[in-house]
Amino acid sequence: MTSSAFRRRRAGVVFLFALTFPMLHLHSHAAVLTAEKRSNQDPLVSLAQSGRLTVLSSQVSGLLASGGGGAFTLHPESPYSMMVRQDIPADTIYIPWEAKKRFWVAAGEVGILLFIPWALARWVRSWEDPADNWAKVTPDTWWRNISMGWEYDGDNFLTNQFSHPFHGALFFNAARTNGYNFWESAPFALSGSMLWEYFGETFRPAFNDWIATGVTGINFGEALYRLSSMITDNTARGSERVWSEIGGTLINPVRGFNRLISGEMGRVFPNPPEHSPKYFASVFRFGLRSLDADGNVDVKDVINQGFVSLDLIYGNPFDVDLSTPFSSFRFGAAVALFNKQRDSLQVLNRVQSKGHLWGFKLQNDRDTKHLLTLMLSYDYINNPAFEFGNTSLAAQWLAMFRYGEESAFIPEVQLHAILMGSTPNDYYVDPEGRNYDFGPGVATTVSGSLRASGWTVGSLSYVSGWIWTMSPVDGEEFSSHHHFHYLRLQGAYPFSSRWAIEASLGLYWRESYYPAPLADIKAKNPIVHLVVLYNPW
Amino acid sequence: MRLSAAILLILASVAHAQPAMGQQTELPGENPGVLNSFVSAQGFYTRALGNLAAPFPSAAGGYVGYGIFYPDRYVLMLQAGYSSYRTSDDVPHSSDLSLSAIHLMGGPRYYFTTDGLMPFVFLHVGLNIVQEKSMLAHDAVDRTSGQFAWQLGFGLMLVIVGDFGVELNAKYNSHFLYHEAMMTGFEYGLGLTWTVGR
Repeated sequence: MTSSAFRRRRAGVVFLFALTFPMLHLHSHAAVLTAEKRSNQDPLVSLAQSGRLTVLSSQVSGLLASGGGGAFTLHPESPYSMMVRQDIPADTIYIPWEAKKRFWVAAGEVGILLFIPWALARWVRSWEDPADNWAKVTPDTWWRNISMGWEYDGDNFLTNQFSHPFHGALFFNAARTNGYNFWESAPFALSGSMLWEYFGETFRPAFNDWIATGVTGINFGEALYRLSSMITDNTARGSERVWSEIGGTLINPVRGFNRLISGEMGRVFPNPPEHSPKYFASVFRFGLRSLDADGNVDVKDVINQGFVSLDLIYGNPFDVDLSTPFSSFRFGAAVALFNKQRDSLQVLNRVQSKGHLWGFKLQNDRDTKHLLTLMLSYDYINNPAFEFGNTSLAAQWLAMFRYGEESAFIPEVQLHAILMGSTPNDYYVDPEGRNYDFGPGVATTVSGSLRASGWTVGSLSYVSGWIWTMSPVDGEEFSSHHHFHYLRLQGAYPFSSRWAIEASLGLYWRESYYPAPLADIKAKNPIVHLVVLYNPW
Repeated sequence: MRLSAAILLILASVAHAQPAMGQQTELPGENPGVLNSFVSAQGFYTRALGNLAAPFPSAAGGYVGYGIFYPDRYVLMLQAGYSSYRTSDDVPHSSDLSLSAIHLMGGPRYYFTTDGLMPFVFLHVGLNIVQEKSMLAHDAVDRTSGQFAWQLGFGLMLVIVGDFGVELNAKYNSHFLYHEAMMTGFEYGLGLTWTVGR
């Protein structure tokens, strides 16, 4: 080893040590605090009484003097309340921005998030016919919207099923990154969406938008909140810190904004617990997909696509506190590549996010585990064969039967109450671009998978559901219903700890029932995947 | 007229009960960790909006409900009710038309205070079972249907004496029925509550 290489390695080790040692110190300290919190004592008071908290800021002294209601309002359940350091000078004790509820900042940010898209449409976007400008709202349009109530809108699948949830995630994070917990942040997403629907557009409020922005925004928002917590490293310095802040801001722009105005982008302080989940898994897929687009039995309209996808698992559901929403969730997305796209809106093929709201463990032995949860589930599937959207509440039974040290069978059943589903409609085409239909429904998912050495080496899953729709055709209101199915068989062969190949056979089919004289439609779309898997962890 | 007299009587009772409120020590939500649930009964009047208002300008009805307190400012409210719409005399063959609904609603309430006068906001979501003989659709219909419904509103709860209280509320209804004739309206409610489970 050359001397310069040695110096670089030594500098790296020292740097790591310098970073790690205070964190280890803090970690052990946090363990003491945690133990004392379990004994129902205020951890700060305990430390002060025991003499271990030797340096206190005037603010913390105020808190102690007033029994917790003093100079500042650090939420007692805030994770940061466990992370006060005893070794830092009095004037540098730092209460993180997200440790305190900031209603007016959160409400102001919701207002900004409403104003920006409205102002862009109102004054920046050029309209071929100015009368089409939906941002020209007046008190008359507000009153009409209040009087007339909801409808389903005519936007395309990407706008309704992806853009709206992302907007809702921003509303949610306006509260979540200003001190509010999951449940307290949910009303911000729902009310932000409602304000937009009633007062931000001349159109009647769209019920599908409210569900997508409000409910899926909560789902999407908490997933992005936790993922941005992982990427943003409050303890990093230098270029590592810069990239960490950029990555976190890209995933969660509202949090990035709050870190900017609070000065936290440049401050070194402890990370919240969400930064380091006990379990985290990710897998990239690169490969080819072949599917039949028209759904006819003769399978002549075959489309071949390249695609890349990323699937994440945050938290092991068998190992987390299921009373904490989204302490475990699954998130995935796929993008189509290298194909002759018939529709540029189908480049984003898939986005899914499924996290539990609440649950409990029925059995938690080493070799056998069962749990029941209530989940929030979101699916965005948009490919040349079919569209499927789903915002649902689902009851989930999940189990694990371990065989040997690194193998397990994992069965799962989900029963979904679909708050808003979307499915192809063979007769409906809206002038604004919608060629699918909305409605509530029910669905069930049954699956079983074999895990070995960290890989899912085989799985079989079946999804079946019904969606009832009511969009008018030719001005006439009618109800149609759609029974959809998806069956998938998958197998993978790992050839190292990081690389594997995978093949899957899938079949999507649906029966759509329309009122006379419209004919019922049956469609079948086989789908084949052949991919390479990469596990970076 | 009788409704006005009843409202005046309740308000007079409330005013008379005010001095006793200072001595009230166990209001809902004051005992940490103890769920002070309540049952309620209330009547309401609805002013219809939009295209529904032409044939059916108003409705009256009632709810019975059960509220479960969660420390220390939240309530999960469950309600069942019935309403019947008044048919406008301006509509031809009005005697042949009718619209009524059974309401099954539930949702959270948030109380700004838990002492004395207790203002709150709420969101109810649920199902309406609607019975109609109407011309709201393109053709005359005679049907019963299940429809999604939600309400957003605010109110005021006041403990009069002991476990009894009175509640006033106003809400915006956005209940589904037809694309061109949703059951939208402003609803005003007045009722009594009785705290249980203490």
